[in-house]
Amino acid sequence: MKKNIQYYETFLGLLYILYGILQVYNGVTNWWLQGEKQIQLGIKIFEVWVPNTFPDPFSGFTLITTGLLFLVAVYYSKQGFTKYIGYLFIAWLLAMIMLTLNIIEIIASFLDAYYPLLYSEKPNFEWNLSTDTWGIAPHFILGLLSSPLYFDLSNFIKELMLKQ
Amino acid sequence: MTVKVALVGNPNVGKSVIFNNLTGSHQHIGNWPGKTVEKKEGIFEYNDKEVYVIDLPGIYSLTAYSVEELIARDYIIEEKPDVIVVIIDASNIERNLYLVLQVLELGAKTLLVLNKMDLAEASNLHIDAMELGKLLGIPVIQTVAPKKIGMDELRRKILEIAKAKKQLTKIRYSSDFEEAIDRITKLLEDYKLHEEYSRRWLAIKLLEGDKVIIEKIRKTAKGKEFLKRVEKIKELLEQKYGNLEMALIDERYRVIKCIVEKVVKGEKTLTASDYLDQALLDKYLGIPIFISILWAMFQFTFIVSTPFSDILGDFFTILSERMAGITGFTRIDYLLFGEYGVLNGIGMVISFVPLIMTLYFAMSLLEDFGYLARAAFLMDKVMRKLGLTGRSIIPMILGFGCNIAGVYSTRIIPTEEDRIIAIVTNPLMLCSARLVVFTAIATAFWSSAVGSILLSLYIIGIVLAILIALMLKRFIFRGITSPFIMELPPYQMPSLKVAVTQMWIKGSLFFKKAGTIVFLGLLIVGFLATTDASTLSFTNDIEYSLVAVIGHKLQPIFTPLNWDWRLVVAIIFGFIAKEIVIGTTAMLYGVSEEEFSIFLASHYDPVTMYAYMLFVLIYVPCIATLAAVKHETQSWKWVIFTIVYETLLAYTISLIILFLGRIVFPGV
Amino acid sequence: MPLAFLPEGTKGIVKSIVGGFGMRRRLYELGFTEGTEVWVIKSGRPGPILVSVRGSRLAIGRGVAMKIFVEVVA
Repeated sequence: MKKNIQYYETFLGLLYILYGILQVYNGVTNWWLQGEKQIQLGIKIFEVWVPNTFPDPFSGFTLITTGLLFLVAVYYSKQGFTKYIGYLFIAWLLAMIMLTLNIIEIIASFLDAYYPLLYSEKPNFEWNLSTDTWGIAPHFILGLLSSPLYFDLSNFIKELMLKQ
Repeated sequence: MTVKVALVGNPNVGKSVIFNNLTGSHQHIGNWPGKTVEKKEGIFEYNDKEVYVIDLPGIYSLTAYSVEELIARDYIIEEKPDVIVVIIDASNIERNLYLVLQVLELGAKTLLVLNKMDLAEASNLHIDAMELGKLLGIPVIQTVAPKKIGMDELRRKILEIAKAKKQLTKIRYSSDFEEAIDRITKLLEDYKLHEEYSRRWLAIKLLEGDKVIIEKIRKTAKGKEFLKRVEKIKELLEQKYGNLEMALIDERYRVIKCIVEKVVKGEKTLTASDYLDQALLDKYLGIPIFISILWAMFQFTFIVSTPFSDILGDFFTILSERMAGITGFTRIDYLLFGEYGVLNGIGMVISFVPLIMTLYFAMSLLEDFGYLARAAFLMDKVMRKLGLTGRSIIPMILGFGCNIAGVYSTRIIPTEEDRIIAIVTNPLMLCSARLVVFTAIATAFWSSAVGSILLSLYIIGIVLAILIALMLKRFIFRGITSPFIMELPPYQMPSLKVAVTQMWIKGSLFFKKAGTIVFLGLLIVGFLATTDASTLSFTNDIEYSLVAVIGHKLQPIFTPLNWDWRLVVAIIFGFIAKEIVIGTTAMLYGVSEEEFSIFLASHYDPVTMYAYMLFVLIYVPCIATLAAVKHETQSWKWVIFTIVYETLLAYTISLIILFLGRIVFPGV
Repeated sequence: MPLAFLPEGTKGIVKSIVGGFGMRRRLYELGFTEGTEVWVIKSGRPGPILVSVRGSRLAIGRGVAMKIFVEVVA
């Protein structure tokens, strides 16, 4: 693995872990201490937090796991073990899955709000990005940042797809 | 005349795909009589000839170690198919050939299919199929099943062989064994025993000491005398080789090694699957990955299905409103379309069909990918400490779809004790029916984190199952757990087609169940709810109905849990089918599906409802599941045990959680 | 030494298997015969072991691995 890619993956790994921990923290405070201060780490664009670290410990757990996988992949790559690629692929796969989940969530929420317009005047509720549960979550941003790694993994993916 | 063909092979060689390629839509899937193993049969036509194909269960050998092997072996011996097609995995040839040799011993007309040729090539293995055929003495066809390469040749060859004369296998074991086989064969000729079977095969079985064959012979005239003479022949051989069954296994592998050396060139390199396993089975990260994947699966299921569920729910509400008053009979109208109406209740249930469908879709992808076997491997470590086996994870995961499937799948657990433990704890796996109930309740109280609340319920179910299993192991069963031996097939791209099919089948099953059992159940509840307790006539004031009387009588038991009588009634009817709990509750409170969430949120606090959900999770499973338990354990003892322990456990846990909840979340 | 003690990435040759008949026969049929090469892919101590035998990958429990005696090759 080229040095630059290693740095990039380390960076990604750390970000995933960071946001994962934040989500866990937010999740715990929100459920336990009934909505005390929620920590957000990002920028606010037109009332929308980017990324929106919504409270959910299990989601945070998954982010942390993904981050760890990235870091482990870099570690093994540095040590010269070829097995790093398995770890990298799983990390990337989880990143893609979470990105997809985020996109689906936004579409589904939108649908859920506005489908009544098909047969009546009023929607179920007014929906917009700033009030959505997930919004533009770390899953989305970090997922986008992880997607270019596809090119590094393309050979591996091709071999995997060979089996049916 | 129809040609009869049997497909045989190790699990995971791609037999099913080949079967599907051959028979297309002309197939029928049922069960082997008296067993829970799938029976797949089909037909195809070639050159005006009709060919009947049966896909026998995947097996490692014909020694009858498991139910599948017994079925396959019995079929081949009793039904005597015209052609036996053995399908082997080209990328895994050495072990696969073991079954081939055993089939060749049978002396039937055999055809070898080398599948997954593309995989072998990719792993750097080059196989000389012609040479292999020559050494074995049977025709060999190379295929890549998913791409349908080699299928036509297969059909042609099947018919060719069916017409041809009997084959003579070229496989011979070492001289000592062959001599013994010859002597026994001659004896069989003299005694004219069981001439319907191949003599060579009988001889080998006798050398192995096959109990089934020995019993058969013992029953014939002169059988005992014959067996005595066979014993003498065996004695000489045993002196040199020890246990003959093991010795013969050795012999087969010796022959296989010779063949492989001549036929396979190249060293198998590490494949992508190997690398994936390195990561997915990592000592420390393996389980976090497992949890993450489960989380993603459940989030996907819930997120995707919600809008569709809402649409369906609305549909039924509107339908109910439009149909009100349509029959003109007040009583029936009220029963069916009123606020407490059955349509209302059913609507709630059916609105969850999208949930079931997405869940099965996701589970199918996961299973197809090959991850479930790894999950068993990962969990084995943990489960051993708790006295369980890694194999038990599969019934557990299936139980998440439906406890009935989970209970039946315990077949794969070899030892009786572990099986019973798995069966009895399976209802603690949160099935899709209860998911329906919990989703409705959870949405009312924790709208932003429903997925996570549900996950917590799943986890609690799992933890309880483990605890119960531990206790059962320690106090009731004291035994050694079954040895864990499991093959990990290579990963493969999950098939979307399979996933969609699964989704559709399971979705329609749920729909049918809703239409029948649940509908009837709700009808009964509705009837009881609209019958005045004292006058037995129609009433639209639920407080005076029969159902209220029952509820009130039982309610005192549940006062510590903070339930009112309606929740009690819902629990009782949950016995019929868990989905009914929601429908009943909605009916009894006289709210529609839309209002249900709001209503719950305003009448109860989150802690009480969480404890309620736990109760529904843990207490008695639905009738259908109990029937499965009875069927699999073959005794009422365990059914009663399940009912009793689950009810007590449910009550206790609910109480504890309620108590703890009040302390930890005082302001709630 | 028992297969269970073999570290990851090492190869061994099966010398003998102790234990119940059913299990031994099962292992035999799956390819664990005397003189067979076994390659340890993953060994989670504690926990089951992932091995490659005759080209196929098997996961075997620790208890079973303790009963398979091998001679270390490399």
